[in-house]
Amino acid sequence: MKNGKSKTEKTQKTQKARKPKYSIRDYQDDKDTVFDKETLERIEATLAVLQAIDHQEKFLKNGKK
Amino acid sequence: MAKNKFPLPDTNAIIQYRQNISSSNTLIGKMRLSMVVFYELTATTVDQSHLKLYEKWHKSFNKDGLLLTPTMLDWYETAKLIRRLRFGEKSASRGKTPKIPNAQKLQNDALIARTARANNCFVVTTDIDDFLLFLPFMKKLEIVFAEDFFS
Repeated sequence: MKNGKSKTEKTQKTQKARKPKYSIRDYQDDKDTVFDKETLERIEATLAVLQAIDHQEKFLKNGKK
Repeated sequence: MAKNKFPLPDTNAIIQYRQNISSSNTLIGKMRLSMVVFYELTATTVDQSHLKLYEKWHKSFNKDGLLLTPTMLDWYETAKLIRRLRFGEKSASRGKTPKIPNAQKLQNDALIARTARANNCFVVTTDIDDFLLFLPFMKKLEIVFAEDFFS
């Protein structure tokens, strides 16, 4: 105990203060989630671009070495 | 549980956190895409074969009305904001702001911020310091540090 607060209380308060207002945890995939056709197309197109970015970043990184 | 605002990642957040974004279809389904981010990513593509993927990406977001393109008013308001930053004008909410003589360099970030605010989005960015400069003149702008968002 220090300043009338336990260590656990203090840790919980710090964690609460540091918790971002928005987090990827708010968007976790659920096995029951069903996406409509348009959203699925958008997800597919985004994944393809993210993969292309990944290839490009790896290529640029290797090229600099 | 997702909040009522939508994530709008900036270019660096997409590049640096591409693996994290890929891991959540729900996030991809909810996120918005800025035309400014699309421009920055497309313009820096080195592989010709990737262009078709970008075209498909553009089409899918545009078709669903989720591609946020700055309007004439957005450009005008952004120009006024950049001018205010250059001259360190007084902000109604925060008083005097520091002068940033080369604020024109912040044009793209300012456009992203402006369209995010106008379309009920929050910006996810790795360059939080740049976006914080807009806050005195954009009251309802919400910015999230990418490192915190993806942790």
